[in-house]
Amino acid sequence: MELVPEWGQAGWSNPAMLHPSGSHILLGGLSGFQVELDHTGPVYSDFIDAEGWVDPMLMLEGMDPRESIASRAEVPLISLGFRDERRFEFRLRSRLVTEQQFDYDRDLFDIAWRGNGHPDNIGRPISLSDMGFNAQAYLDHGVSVGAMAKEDKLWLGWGIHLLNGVGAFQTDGFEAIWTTDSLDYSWELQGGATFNAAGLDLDSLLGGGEIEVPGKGGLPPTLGAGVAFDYGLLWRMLPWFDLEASVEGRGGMRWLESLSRKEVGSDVFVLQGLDLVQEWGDRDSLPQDSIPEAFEDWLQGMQDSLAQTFALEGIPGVAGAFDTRVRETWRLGFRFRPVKALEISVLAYRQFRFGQTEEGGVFGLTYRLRGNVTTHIQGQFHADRWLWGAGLSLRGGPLRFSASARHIPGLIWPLDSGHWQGQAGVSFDIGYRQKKPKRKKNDLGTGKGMWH
Amino acid sequence: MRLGFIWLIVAGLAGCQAPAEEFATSDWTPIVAVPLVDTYFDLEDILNGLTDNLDTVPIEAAEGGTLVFLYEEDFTGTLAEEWLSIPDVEEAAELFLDEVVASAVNVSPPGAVLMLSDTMVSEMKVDNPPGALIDLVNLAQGQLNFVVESTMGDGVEGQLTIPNLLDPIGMPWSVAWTDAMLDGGSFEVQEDLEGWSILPENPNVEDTNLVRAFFDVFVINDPMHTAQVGEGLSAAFSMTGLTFDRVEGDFGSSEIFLEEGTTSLSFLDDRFTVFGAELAEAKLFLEITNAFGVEASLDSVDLIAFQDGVVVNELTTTAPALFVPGATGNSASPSVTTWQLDSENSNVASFMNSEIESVELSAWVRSNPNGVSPANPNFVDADGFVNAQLRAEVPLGFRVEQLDFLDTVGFELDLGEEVVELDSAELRIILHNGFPFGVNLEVVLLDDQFVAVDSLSVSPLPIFTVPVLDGAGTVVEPGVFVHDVHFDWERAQVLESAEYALLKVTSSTLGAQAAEFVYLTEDQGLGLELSVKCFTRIEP
Repeated sequence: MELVPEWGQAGWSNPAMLHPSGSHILLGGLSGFQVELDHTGPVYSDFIDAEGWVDPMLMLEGMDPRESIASRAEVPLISLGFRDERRFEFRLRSRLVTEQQFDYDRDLFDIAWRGNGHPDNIGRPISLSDMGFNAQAYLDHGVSVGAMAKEDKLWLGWGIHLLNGVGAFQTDGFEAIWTTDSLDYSWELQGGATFNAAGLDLDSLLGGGEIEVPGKGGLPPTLGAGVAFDYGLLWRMLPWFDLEASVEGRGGMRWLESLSRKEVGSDVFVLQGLDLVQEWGDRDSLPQDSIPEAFEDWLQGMQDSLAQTFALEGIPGVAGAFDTRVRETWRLGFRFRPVKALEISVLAYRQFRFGQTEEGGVFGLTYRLRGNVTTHIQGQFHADRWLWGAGLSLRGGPLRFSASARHIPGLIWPLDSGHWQGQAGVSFDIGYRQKKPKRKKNDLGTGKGMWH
Repeated sequence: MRLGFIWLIVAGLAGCQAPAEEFATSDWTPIVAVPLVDTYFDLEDILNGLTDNLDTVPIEAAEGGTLVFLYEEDFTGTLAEEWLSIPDVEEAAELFLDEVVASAVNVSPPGAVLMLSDTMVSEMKVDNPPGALIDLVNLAQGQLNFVVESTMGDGVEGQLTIPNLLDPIGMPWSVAWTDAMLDGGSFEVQEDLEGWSILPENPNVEDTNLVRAFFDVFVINDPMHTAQVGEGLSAAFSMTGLTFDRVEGDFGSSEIFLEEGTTSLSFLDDRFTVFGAELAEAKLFLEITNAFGVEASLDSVDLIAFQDGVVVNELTTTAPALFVPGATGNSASPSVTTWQLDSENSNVASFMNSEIESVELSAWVRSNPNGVSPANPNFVDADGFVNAQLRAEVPLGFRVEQLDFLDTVGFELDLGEEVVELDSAELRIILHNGFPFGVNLEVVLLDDQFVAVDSLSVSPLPIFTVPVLDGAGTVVEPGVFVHDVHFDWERAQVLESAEYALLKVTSSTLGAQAAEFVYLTEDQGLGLELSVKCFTRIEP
């Protein structure tokens, strides 16, 4: 919904897009609070029927090779926007963003359910290399401007975000491949991983310690810093047809303080059977009674060797700085207005988050009633499934209340949904007085916002 | 407003969908594949292992890695004391007064002395070796006894000398007696002969090994006694318990025993049936150590193979007789000579085939094949000996067209209590055969009534799959055998009921039909891998 102007974030998603009100102020707390929980894999009802019968194979069949569980929350602390009619808009915003993403491989469940000896698994590399956990929290202080570059034809926008990192955990690299030889069933385990953290003591965590909240309830310290940029374009090709494109959040942070780093060196471990001849040589004799003992020794040796091969070790010395990216979204779409109050939009997007890329598309229908009521419905193809969203924005005087959900069925039938997203906000809008006689037809800046 | 109303309804419905109160799912049946054993051993490993655990291993690696079966046997041989024995020397003589002598004594003035002399000759007849001519015997032990008995009434004195018996400083043994010494009618003299020497005389071919004793008797007329015919005196000496430190002479031509006996030499027992088996090569070495100062000739080695009491093979050779030099100077410098038999000069390779059950062996050398030079007489020291060592070298190159092994062995399997989490298991056996032969295996499990209850497979398993060889018979690529044995608890019960296992093994070497030999080398080996697939079942 971030591209619907009435919801307040449109200018931050595409800085070329202007707010419908002359100025607007969003105060902290509830002003544009967003929570998003997303699971790309099968949903409950894909593999559990109404009677509670769980079919793990349906779950496996419904999974892509890599799936993710992600959450994101944005809490705007303050947001201001000032507009010079449809020529120029200046925006200022501070917000707190927290986002986490856990990526996992289908093979993890496959091998757990069917085992490494299953005909579909034996002999092929079972890769868990897409697994990883990433999280970060940061304060985003942004400045954004949108300006009309060509009279009523072209608007361009640009924004910059100064990012103050509060805490982060990064899976810098993760490689885990398990191959069971189809002939002799020997195992080859290839793996390695590197973990970075800022504001988290990994030694303490690995030792069973608790996660300490940065700042301990007070103002969190700044552990990383960075910058991100927004770019936007709105081209009114026809009075009833707009083409839009934007890049949001291109940038990242460098984490510099309170760092820790752990590493599992890249290595290969091969599990083969007991070498009886060697055992025989070590023991001088191998009577039948000592074979179980030899197997126990071998098993213990394998465990020790495995633990040694993939030992999680700290990096000697002071941990180096590391970088993380913030969520970056590229959008390209168009919208047209067959009648004044109705807007149809189509948008394709590609989103980069924690090293993963996701594409999708949105089509939406926006209906505006006298500038005070805006409704929007949309269909979004996301993670191989359709999301059906809707939103309502009500304005009464200087106050605007807006609420939306990206997937309404997910609220009604949560067991069928892998995506839950909600957004609600209250803003204080100082609008231009509507000078209807002077308004040009299909003026973008007076409520003809766009959604996706 | 209508839209707002709809929105409120939607929001109110949020979360109305509730999950089932109870969940159920199918059994969890992961298949777990685990390697158990992965080991490789070549013949060098086996030899090393056997060497560590056994004193000797009859197989060694020759140059180039070819394995050779070695068989060594020390022959009994002959010791000096067994081959040459010194007989006792015994001789006696009597001297009686006849009328003439008695009258001569009686008419002689009182106190007059009448001397009588005689010679005793003893022949040391040597039976071992027969006909040996002894020039010198250095005695280690022995005792000389000399006894004189007298029935004469006159005084009698005398002396006896054995010039062939020398004391350690080279003086002949001699003894003299007086009349007083015969007061009792006799006297006896003993001499310990340790360190003494006997130098027998060999004047001609008929009189050999003679030991002579000369004695003189002095009869002193006693006027109080009238000598009577028949009075007399007897003397006897003996050398008994003679052992030698060294004997010299001409010991003639006789056999010196090396070995004689029967040895069980069965490579395969009666559980094996072999057809078309042949060794590529074999060598026999007979090393003779001669510590006698006697030249000898090895011309009698008899090797006869038996099967079921019937002669099936006999060693024949075209090798010339082996000349065995004598020891040089003494027994501490023996001669060592070796007689070699191989495929070039004998039928040893075909002799040592698998059909042998036992071998009868006899071997001697014959002394002095070229006679004895007087300037270089034979000698035998007390610690002298002649012995031999038989060494068989059989390179493990062979061909076997068909080898069958059939046996029934006891079988016992206890798999314990049934594990409910384990539905079944599949044991995978992988054998990488680097040996130049193939082996097929059949295993049938029998109950206590010898009724088949299970088998390893429907058809024989080529557990030693034939490898790929190059032109030289070297294994280039091992043959790989893979077989899965499925176990479930029903089969486990059957297996636990089995009491016996009938094993049938067939084998043949590569190219055996074309008379090609294969060779075992120390780098040939067998890779064994055991793995298991566990079909588990865990109820939720």
